Formats: sequence, structure tokens, C-alpha cells
Amino acid sequence: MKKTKTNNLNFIIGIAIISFVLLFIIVGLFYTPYDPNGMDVTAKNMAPSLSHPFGTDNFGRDVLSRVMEGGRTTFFVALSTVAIGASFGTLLGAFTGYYGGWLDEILMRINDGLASFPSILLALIVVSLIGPGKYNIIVALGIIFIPSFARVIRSEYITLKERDFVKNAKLMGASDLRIMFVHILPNTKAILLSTITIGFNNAVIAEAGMSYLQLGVQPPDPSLGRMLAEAGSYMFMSPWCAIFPGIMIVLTVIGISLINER
Amino acid sequence: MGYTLKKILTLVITLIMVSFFTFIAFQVIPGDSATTQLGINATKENVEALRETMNLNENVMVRYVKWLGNVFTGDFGTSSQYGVPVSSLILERMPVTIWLAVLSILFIVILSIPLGIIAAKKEGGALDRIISFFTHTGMGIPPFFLGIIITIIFGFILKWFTPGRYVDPKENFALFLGYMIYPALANAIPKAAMVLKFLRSSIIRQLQMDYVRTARSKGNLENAILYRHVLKNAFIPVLTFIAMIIAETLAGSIMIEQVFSLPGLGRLLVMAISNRDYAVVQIIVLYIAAIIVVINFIVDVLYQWIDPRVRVK
Repeated sequence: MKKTKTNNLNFIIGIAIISFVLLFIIVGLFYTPYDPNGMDVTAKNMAPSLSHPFGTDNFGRDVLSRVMEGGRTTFFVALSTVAIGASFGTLLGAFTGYYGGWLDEILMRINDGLASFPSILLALIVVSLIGPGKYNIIVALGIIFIPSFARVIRSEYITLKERDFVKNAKLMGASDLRIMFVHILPNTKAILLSTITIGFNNAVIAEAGMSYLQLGVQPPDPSLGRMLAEAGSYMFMSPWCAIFPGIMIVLTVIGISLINER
Repeated sequence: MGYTLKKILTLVITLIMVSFFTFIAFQVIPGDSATTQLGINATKENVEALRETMNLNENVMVRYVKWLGNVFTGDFGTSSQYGVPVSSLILERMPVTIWLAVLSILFIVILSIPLGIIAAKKEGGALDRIISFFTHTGMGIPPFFLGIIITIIFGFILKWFTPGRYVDPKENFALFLGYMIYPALANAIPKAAMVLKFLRSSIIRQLQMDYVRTARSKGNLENAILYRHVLKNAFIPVLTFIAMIIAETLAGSIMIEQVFSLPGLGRLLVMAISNRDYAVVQIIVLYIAAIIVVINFIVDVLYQWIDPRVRVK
């Protein structure tokens, strides 16, 4: 009994945190206090104040506006990454789990091998092959996220394909494709959703990390990771340039993981 | 014994596959080392001549075998951005990364194990809640942002160390360690939080087992049960998790070296990627990958030694 209560509380706190983060991003779509890339030489490295609530950076750009725009870039990259990983991963997991056989065996061995390598290392390898950039980073991270989805969906398919409703559908003459995607897929909803939320968090951290290494989103586009990288050399003069984008990342990750824990 | 042999065989095959993939991956990219080295203004003849000296015109398999042979003899080729042998670059940078990894793992153990035991012992209590709050936050903070926070707090506000003033271990080892504490902490805290959470739930699961009830009914003290019986069993699942943590620690040092400007392998890797210095990228990737594969192997072998049930399977 007690457990469900604290879990509900976690969920509510998580929703509150994520709504707060989304508020920044959605408002940022229509309105930012200043031009995110507009430089102002008279307002360099200003501490947070009423006119610049998050302060300004070394070019005199408003940090609040950049956090709004950067948060959107980060969310865009993370969502696209998860979309690529989830769709290809689901397809792969569905076919290998449903049919099994030697192809399944080989793919899963490769999958196991890849799983033991940290995603940031794999992302670095892919980026070193296809080069840095906003869209390249989506491709790189998307590819890396495929195995984790494939693994989860595959194991779901392996158990679900033995269930009676699948046998029924077969007797009714449904095709394999129909069974796989109309009958079995909806039953993986719960596990798929939770894998997506974990994946989203990992994608946010990975995007921030790659952009922090200057290998992700390229200037002048702000992303939360890029802002941290740019703040690096001015950390002593204007720590707020690093703190606010960093807090946005932390809030996003904690919020999502609280929601997911329910 | 048969189990270990099988594992050794798998290890060798995996290492060969990893080396093949790292080699092949860098062959499929458009534009090879010759074109990158000479730049876009190079004439066709120049590129062709350089390709000839770099042996880029031979069959891929032949080049792979040659490359692997060179790697075994310690000849890693020449870095195109520095113009020096890759092996000397690696040797120079390696100690920093190894020290960072060792210190990080030390911190992970020091932080996670005692706190995990305390949290499991007081499950649901105030102390458990406080620890759980910190594990949640710890897992939510990317290590490099934690590095930035540590730099701001300990470097700029408390002035316990000077950010950016890295001391070479050969110059002054004590000062070097003093500086390395902060990057190691930044690297360790998020992973310590993960281990802590895992260990806590593992202990709690064990505490509900029948053997614990038996031990209790025999009148054993609660602490004696915990330290003599439960912990031994609770650590088994944590052990496999540790391999992943070590791999993550190594990968995390790539970011952390950037934050604290440490001249380690990770920074070399990032520099090499931005400058398309593939000889260096290849070797570092192979190096890290090999370490991860070997650690996984060691954990697998240890696992069946500690938990004989695995051998039967």
C-alpha cells in the first residue's frame, strides 16, 4: 500500500518537473525575451538580473533565450533519436523474436557484443565516421539506440507468440505480418513506453555529451550541451552560463525517470 | 575447467571481431588518410603517391592482417595531426586515463557499498529516503556537468584546487593526486549512485529469503546475518553490473578529461576525431574496446567461481 503512495508522489513530482521544462521550450517556440543568437557588446558576462534573468554570456547573448532555444534543439535531437531507435529496433525485434532461426542468433550475438560497450564510445565512433553536426548526431545516436529496443521487443515477442490469441489468429488465417503488428505489437505497449522514456533520457545525456565535446550540434545553433561547452572557458567570470543549461538537463532527466518509476 | 576454456575461446574470437570491425569501419569512409593529410588542394599524383607509401592500394584483408601484425608488435602507425608515432602518443597519455579510472573506481566502491548497506538495513526509514534522494539526483546529473559544478564549487568558490592547473605525475605525484581527486569524484558519483541502488535492492531481495528466516529463528544477530550470509549472496548480481560500470567509467573519462583539461587518452581521442586523425582514433577505440572485452571475460570467470550454479547451466 505504502509503495503505491510514494510511487504516485514520484509520478506527480516528475510530471511537475517535466511540465516546467516543457513550459520553457513551448514558450520558446513563440517568444524569447531576446534573439538567442543576438550579440550585445554592452552586456557581456552580466550576472542574472531583472532584464536578463539567467545572465548573459561572453558575447552578450541572453542565456535565458538561449536555454529556451537550446532546450528545444536538445529535445528535438533526443526525440528524433528515440524515434529512429524505437522504430527500427521494434521492426528488428519483432522479426527476430517472431521467426527466430540463425539470423536471430547472429543478430542477437552482435547485439550482446554492442551492449557491453558504453553508448558514448559507440557514438564517438559513428561521429568520427560520418562527421559532426545536428543531423549526423541524430543518425549516430539513433543507430546506437536500435539494439536496446530490439532486445526488449524481441523478448516480448518470444513470450507473446506462444499465447492463445496468436494461435487463434493463425487459425483464422491471419498472415504473419498481421499477427506481428496488429495482434502482438499492441501488447508490448507498456514495456515499449518504458523503454522509450529510458531511451529519451539517455539520448538527452548523449546529445549533451556529444555537443559538449563539440562533435554534436554546431554553432551558432544553441543546444544545452553546446552551451556548457561554450561556458567552459568563462566559468570563473560567468558561471551562470553553465549552471542554467546544466540544470535544464538535470531536471529533464530526473523528471522523466521519476515518471518512469511508477 | 571446460567453462573457462570456452570463455577463453570466446574472448579470442570477440577480440578478433572487435579489431576487424574497428579496422573496417575506418576503411568505408569517403576520403582516406591520404586525402585528409594532403588537404583539398592536393593534386591527383600527390595523393596517389602517398596512397602508395601508405599501402592504401592493397586488398582490404591484406591490409587488415598487416595492421593487426603491426598492432601486436607495437607499431601503431603515425599520427597525421602530430606527425609522431601513435605508440608514443598513447604511452604518454595512458597513465592519466588509468589513474583517473582507478581513482574513480575506488570512489565508486567507497561511496556505494557502505551507503547501499545502510540504505538496505534501514529500508523505508529517513536515512534510506535521504540516500535515495541523492541516488536519484546523482543518476540524473551527467558526469561532465557534475565536473563543472565541482569546478565551480571547489575550484572557484572554496579554492581547494586551481582548475586547469594539471600537474604531471612525474613532476609532483602528491599534487597530481590532489588534482585528480576532483575529476575522479565527478566521474564516480553518478556510477556510485547506480551501484548503490542496485546493491540496495539486491540486499533487500536477499533479506526476504528463507535462509535468512532460518538464521533469525536460530537466534542469530541481525548484523551477523547481514554480514555473514546476506552480503555474500547480494554481491553476486552486483559483480556482473561492475563490468558495465568499469566500461562506463572508462567512457566517462573521455568527457571528464575534457572538463578538467587532463591530457589523457580521452582528450586525445576527441582531438583526433575533430582532426580526422584515423590512425589515432582506431588504436584508442581498439584499446578501450579490448579492455572492456577483457574485463567482461574476467567477470564471467569470477562469476562462475563465486556462484557454482552458473557452471551447471
